[in-house]
Amino acid sequence: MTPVLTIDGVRVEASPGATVLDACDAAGVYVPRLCAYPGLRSTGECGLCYVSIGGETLRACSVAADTGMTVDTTNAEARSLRAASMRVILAGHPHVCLSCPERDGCSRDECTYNNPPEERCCGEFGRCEIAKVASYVGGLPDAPAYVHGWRGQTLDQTILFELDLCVGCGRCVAACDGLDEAGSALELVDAVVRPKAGDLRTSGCTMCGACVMVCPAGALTAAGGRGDDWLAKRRERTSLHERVLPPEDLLPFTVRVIEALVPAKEGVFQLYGQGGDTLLISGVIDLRAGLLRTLEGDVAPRACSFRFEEDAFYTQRESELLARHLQKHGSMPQGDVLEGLFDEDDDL
Amino acid sequence: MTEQAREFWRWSETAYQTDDVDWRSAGSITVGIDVGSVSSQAVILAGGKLYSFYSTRTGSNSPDSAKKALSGAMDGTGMSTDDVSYVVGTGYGRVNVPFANRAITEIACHARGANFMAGPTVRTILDMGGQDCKVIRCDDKGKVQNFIMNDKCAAGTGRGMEVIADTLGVPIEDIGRRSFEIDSEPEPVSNVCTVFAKSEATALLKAGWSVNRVLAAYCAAMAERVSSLIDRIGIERDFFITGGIAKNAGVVRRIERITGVEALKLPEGSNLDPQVAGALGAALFAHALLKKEQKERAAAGADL
Repeated sequence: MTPVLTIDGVRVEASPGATVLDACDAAGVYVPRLCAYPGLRSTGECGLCYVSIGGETLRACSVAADTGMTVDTTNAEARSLRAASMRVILAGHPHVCLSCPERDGCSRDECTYNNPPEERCCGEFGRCEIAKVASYVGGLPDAPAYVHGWRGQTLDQTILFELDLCVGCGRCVAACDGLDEAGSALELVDAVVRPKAGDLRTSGCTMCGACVMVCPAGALTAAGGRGDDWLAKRRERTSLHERVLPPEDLLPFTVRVIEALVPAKEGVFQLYGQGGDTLLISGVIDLRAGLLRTLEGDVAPRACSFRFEEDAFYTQRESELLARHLQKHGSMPQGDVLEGLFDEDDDL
Repeated sequence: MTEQAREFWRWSETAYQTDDVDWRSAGSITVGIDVGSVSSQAVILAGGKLYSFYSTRTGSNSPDSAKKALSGAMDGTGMSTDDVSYVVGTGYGRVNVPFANRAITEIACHARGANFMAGPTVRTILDMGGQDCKVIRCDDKGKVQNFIMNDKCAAGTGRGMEVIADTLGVPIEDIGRRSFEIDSEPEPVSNVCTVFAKSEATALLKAGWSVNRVLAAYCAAMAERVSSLIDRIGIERDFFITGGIAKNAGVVRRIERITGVEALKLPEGSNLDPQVAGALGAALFAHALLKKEQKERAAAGADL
């Protein structure tokens, strides 16, 4: 029987056997996760997919979708549990660059703040899944400092194991065990990945590349240019499903979303109109108040969506984003208050 | 005052008030306040015409700096904050300007202010502030078209110049003149880092350099750094420099030498100060916003 449930007020039909998380994915409602991966069994270890199900706060990956369920993915308790889980994950994964005010365009070779190299982000900086999920979940600025594990790295075939980056999510193991083309060669020991029999070849690895494709942490990567070529070929043939990522942190511009998801903290928000035109880039001392005020302003009727980022140096960040916009478009954002202030200069 | 206690970095706080305008009969008082990282300015317009301004050092607290600048601009005029119809805050501390009706990015305000100060032919503005440096390209109305700022650090900005003034014991306003009182132009110092400026300058003095020569080398290094920033978005005439460093000929003339473009000078006897460009732009926006609001209110009234 097809389970029919309600997710954020919308009626959703799930596939038989689906988890609540699968149902959310099918409905296009993003719920954060780092261990679950579409089509693979999940360890449920990451603790990021909390939602409220009929008033109870539960992990969406561990509950079977059932007819009559009412799921609220924006529930406050669920969100605070996600943030707490994220902080635990970040304590075991270098992340200092993610919340750095100088992160844009930084090479991470030299650090203005003298953060030790082992606490800085890895080569996946800029495309890392942990960063995307963390910025969606929140809690980055007050994440605990990374405690280095000194577990080192190994190069096996073309796969580089950077064990200090591993967050123990178990996705690689799930892919290696669950896909037909894979050889069930990996295991987690003390929440760190390793080949079962010491090295990949003797563990039965088929070099299908799925473990590298699912790793959210940069712990398993294809080494060097040859590795990149190998991985690209494997990608064409893989039976893996598409990865589910946070919506490009783009949110609907509504009171409900602002009140539920935007913190009353310093930061910068960007407002977009239909078709994605940037209407406004604004650094504010209180993101929630700033957005709610904008909702009542002149530009609101043209606005559809927004994104925001917390940043204590919000005026500097605003200037950086304006610089990027100006360099691309040659004018200030279209909904700026300045519009129409240049045309009359009668008595000036 | 003993030599040790002198504050060589201390630039003079400027104030201006005109007698030509009677603010009480001007119709509207609009204000722009620019709270920067090092200095804060307030500009008052009466009926859209420049009435007064004041430039002061930013304290540890943005709201107080804004108030101090405004009360400086109002000093002796009999004007109070109750007489003000519209305030626009700008600069690094713009969000913290109390009594502001709106905050507007300093990028827009500097362009607008420069357009008013130096005229509609200005296309490239270099704003050399206390802790950052911006290059702005604009059209004949002062509308911003492109923008770039220095990244990462405060090297080669106003604050660095203050450190040099203090280290070498040269009043900051003499640096420009003295940096040319040398036999030959030295190599620029190797870095303009505000943190290392002190040790590098001291090392050069120990190596036998004259104070003026060190000043020249520091101004040259700063000019080089800024010119490479300008290079990144290109320079189109006319070129105008705003911010505190605009008053330092040692840096300005070296920038002109490197870029091959002469910066516009304010007309002889001008009462304006390039350091108030941001606040002036903000005040002009405040005036335009007030008029826009009045017009909207009048239109709403006509509808009833």
